[in-house]
Amino acid sequence: MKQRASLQIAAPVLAIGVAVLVSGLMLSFTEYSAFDVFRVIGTEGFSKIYLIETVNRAAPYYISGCAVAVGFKMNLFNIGVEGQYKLAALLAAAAGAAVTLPAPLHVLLIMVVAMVVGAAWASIPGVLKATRGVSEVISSIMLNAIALGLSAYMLGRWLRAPASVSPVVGTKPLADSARLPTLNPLLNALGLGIPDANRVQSYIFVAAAVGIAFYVIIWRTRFGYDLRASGSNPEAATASGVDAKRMIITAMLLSGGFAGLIGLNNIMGQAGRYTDVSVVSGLGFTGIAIALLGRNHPVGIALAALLWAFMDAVQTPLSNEGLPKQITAIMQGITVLSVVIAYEVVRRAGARQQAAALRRDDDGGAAAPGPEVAPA
Amino acid sequence: MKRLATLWSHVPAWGRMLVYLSGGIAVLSTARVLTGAGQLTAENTFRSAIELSVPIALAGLGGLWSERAGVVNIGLEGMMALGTWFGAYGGIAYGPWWGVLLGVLGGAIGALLHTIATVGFGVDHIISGVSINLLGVGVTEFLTSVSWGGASAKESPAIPDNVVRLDLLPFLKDPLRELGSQNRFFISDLADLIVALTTGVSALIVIAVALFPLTWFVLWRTPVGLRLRSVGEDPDAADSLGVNVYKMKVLGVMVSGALAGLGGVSLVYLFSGKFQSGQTGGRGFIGLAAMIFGNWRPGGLLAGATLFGFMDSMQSQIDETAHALLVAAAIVFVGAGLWSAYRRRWVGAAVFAVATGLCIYWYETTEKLPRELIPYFPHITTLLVLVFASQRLRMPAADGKIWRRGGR
Amino acid sequence: MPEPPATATPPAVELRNIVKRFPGVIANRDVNLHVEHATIHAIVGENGAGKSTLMKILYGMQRPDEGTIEVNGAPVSFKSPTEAIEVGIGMVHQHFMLADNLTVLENVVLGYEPRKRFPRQFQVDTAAARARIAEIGARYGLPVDPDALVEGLGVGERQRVEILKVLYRGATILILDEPTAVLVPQEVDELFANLAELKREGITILFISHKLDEVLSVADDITVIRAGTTVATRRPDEVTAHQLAELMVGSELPTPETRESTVTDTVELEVDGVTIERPGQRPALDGVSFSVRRGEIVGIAGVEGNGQTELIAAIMGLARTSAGTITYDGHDITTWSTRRRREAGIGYIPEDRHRHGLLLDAPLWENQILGHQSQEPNAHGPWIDREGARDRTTEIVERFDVRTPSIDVDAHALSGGNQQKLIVGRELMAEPTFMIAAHPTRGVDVGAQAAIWDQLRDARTAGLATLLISADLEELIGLSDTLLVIFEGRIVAQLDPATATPEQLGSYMTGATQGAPA
Repeated sequence: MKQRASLQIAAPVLAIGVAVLVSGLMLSFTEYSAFDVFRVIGTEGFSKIYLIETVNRAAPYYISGCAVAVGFKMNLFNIGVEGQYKLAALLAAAAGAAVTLPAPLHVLLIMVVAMVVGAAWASIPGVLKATRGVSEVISSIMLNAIALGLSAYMLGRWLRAPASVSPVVGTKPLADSARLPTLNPLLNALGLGIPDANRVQSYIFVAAAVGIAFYVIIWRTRFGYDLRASGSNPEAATASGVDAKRMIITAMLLSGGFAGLIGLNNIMGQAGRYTDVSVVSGLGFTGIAIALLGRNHPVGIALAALLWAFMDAVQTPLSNEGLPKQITAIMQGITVLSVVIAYEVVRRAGARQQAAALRRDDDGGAAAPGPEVAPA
Repeated sequence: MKRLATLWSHVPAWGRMLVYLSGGIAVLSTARVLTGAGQLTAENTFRSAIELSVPIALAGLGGLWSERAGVVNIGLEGMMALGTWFGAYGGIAYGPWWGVLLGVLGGAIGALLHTIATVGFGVDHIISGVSINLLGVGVTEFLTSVSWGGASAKESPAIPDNVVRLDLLPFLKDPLRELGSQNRFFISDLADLIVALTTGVSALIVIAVALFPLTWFVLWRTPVGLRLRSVGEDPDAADSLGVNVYKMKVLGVMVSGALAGLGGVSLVYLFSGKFQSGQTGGRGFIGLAAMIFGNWRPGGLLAGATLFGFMDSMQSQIDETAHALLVAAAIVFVGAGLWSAYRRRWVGAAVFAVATGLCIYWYETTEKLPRELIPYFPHITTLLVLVFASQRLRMPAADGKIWRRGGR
Repeated sequence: MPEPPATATPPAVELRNIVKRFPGVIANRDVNLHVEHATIHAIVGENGAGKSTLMKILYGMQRPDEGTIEVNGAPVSFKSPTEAIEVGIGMVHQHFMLADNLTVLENVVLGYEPRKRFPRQFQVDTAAARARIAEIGARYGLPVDPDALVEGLGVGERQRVEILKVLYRGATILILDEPTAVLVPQEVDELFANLAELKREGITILFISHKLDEVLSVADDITVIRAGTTVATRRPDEVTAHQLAELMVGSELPTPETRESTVTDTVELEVDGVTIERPGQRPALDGVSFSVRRGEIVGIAGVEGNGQTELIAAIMGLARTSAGTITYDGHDITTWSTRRRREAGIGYIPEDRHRHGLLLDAPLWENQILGHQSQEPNAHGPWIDREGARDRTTEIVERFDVRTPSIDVDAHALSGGNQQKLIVGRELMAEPTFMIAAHPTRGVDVGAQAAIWDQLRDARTAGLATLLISADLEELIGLSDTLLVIFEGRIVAQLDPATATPEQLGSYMTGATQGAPA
């Protein structure tokens, strides 16, 4: 795997190149100037305001990517991240609003509730697959939708903050002890001069912690070894003692646990409650794209998350200049498609090489072991 | 009773569908009588249900063509979105039928990408599908902002002309309506249904419905259809007999995209009259659910889509109507329970008995069904089918498997 | 080879001097085959003798490097199976190519569908197909229900559908590849009756098998292949099963070296009455009983596909048994999980190292952990001990002479021999008390093979109980203290490797001698 590091980076870079090319081509058919678009992306995109936006968005993307990656490492598709994080965010916000605890405990409570809800919701497709062989893809997609319905129902029935608090539908606001501080004071002390209006969320530390946990669990524990072995070669894994069914369920639980943390950044930040604005939709599918781009590796996912967040953040300056902001969404889509095609092509070439090398060793079916023909 | 069973097996598929349909109407009719929810079987309700089921049915049919060839198509949502955009664009720029054509082509273009990725490069079907969904949203929004002014435009102008509406049985229209207003058990409900199906019905609906027997004919009665299905069941066996596996897969996916595109077109022309970002609203996935519910057969798929469409139409009804569905469900469970008992499957009978009790209890103790959950009945139903009926489901055996000539 | 008398009808198939090479190996060499029209011609040989390659050549899936093929007297050269089909050759594969969810009729006509006349030429003419299937079925005695789903058919019925498939396309020369491999005795009789009927109708049949008693009862001519070459052709009335076995196996067998016996009295593993049922088929294992003692290597000889894989799976806990017990170190482990068995000290060298023994995309030191991820030195509580694993890997590389630039190299970069040495080292260094060695030197170069044999012998001396499963007679004779033969899921013989003769071994392996279980 190490000697192919350069190849690993080459594929995403190439994919981005293709995306830029195709987008430029699409723009050339319109009245908008591709040059303008890329100029804005290259200059405004890197201004302080939008970099902050990028970092803030990247944190939940990163967590989502890690959650999906856990599944991918085991050849499982946790498409259900979408439903898991929304449900988890709602219940965690509600739980957090129902109590008041001293600061670190309050935050911890919210996060734990979120992880438990996420894991529980993820366990459903896991159990269904392990016990009845139901495709985790279809069941997850159904459960995503059901999660939306359940959230709406619970929010409307039980968890809603009274209209006096806010006309916007959402949970009750959290006490200050549950809010995470911004990083502005720290960064300003370092002389970076961030205006107060642009809050740098400290949720990136949570994201970093998830990343570290992801790395440690998957690459340093026995469980992680079993998980990777199951994804790499399920038959060899079974022969080595791994219980396949148990593995599926545990992997989904872990993935769902991570997923639960995705939607908490705004709830524990400025918004202070769960609303349709503070917890946006679509982060589950974003996570899939990011995990693919980042090749299921904690560092790769981080880079992918930043890239993706950048593309999202840069939509605002584009829109301000009257340029079509959706071009970045197209670039994102093309990048993902190109990268998966590129990886597949590389994988096949590698496999062909491997097979040829092995045929040189194997006896190809003749009687005696050994590369030469057996004597008559 | 044995003779009944053998008799049943000789009834052709369309005959069985008629029986199921009658059964459905009978159930609804009974529920209407028991609860007094007259709207349950009103002409408007049926009309709305039919219209809502069309996009789902088309998306599901698209899924069927693709999966019968062994390619999972999660990207139906994106292809449908392309269909909505191109359908609207065509309708505004040229005319309604051009819109239909362009919408179909739009969906097919999305399918082309999916084909290249999966059949051409052997990319995993799910990953490719998810990517196409992402692209579909982005591309349609981009095209919107480019075509109809304003970088943040989210919808198109209204389409000036719509697809023609037909009266299929003009001379029966009034007598049937008269019959429908008489509130007679079963007869009036059936009359209302027939009127809804044949009066003022958009040509798109007629086309959509016609595509189902056509699909059945092509896939189950022609050589091309047999080869396509064989590729989804056992591509190695098909290959060993000289069938061009790749060609069949491409065919399946491209038709799939075209149908999804048509589904998008129907969303535009039957409802909003324009393109709106996000109007597919997960219907691509509901279509997949209908396909599974229908056991990958066109007849079952149509039944599932109709059921889901009917549930969908409950959203715009008064509470009483949706509430009455609980009674309808209870009736179905009673029937299922009796059938289980007859077959001596006591566990199943017990489960259905409990379900009946729960439905009735729920009905008696509430005023209405939770509004927030109504849109998700299709998903809940599909999940239940997956969980409890997984043995009877016959997914094409090689569905979702990447196939390369000569093995991986 | 005696020249058959000249007949009016040209031979159905005539192969002359066929040679086929693959990278690194010669699969067929000097192959000559003469098949008379309307006869049943059997081709016998051990696994790896080159039968499959030869049949693939005849069927058009491979092209010979040298030599000629004549079908019905005319020279042919196939570029694909389609061309072979056109000439009238039909292949009935050992592993049936039937789509479960389609009906018999659909499977039979697929790719060759009859169409209705204009203007309905899009439609499959089901009536015509049905009529033809019924006609073929009646003529050749192959009754099938065209509307039945293949899924519900038994193995014998499926085979009939496969035969029907080729006859439907006008085959006059049928190739059957190990047709009785999964049939129960009654189905075998039915098949042979069908073959006789086919022969009467003028169909020529090539029958590949390793089961000599069956071959002797049904064939008109028998050709023996060994090590890629056709060594002899005989008629059943002029040869015995023992003689055939001798021809298959070769008359030289390695002599085992004399040495001190290290076999102790302590039984480490006891297999008692183990059975694995298969619905609708002969059981994969049928009442298998034997024991392996400390310091002993028990070898199991047999043609592949006679239950060896299932036996390994049963002992490793990878397959559930229908009956019988497995006792290890005094404990009844029949219901233990695979992990538990491995942790208790059972080692495993799998027969297919790529499928069951390695993670090809992972570095060597991670592969070393495989199978031992819950034990020292690889693991420490819930954590993987990288240091420990790497140190152990380095030790293995040195001690077992694994040729590799480093322990961080991915497993797929190693040659087969070195991969196998790694696996052997990994298993032996975990200090097992019982080891399954399945084809431990398959696909391994001669040098590595000798090294692995030495390692296994040393381990035996140190007290390891080993079950050796192999198709390499030299290996079996050279290493085993006790030699068992498995055939059709049963242990049919227990022999002393020092005194076993090739014809004895061959006979038991091919069922020529129906031995009583040991």
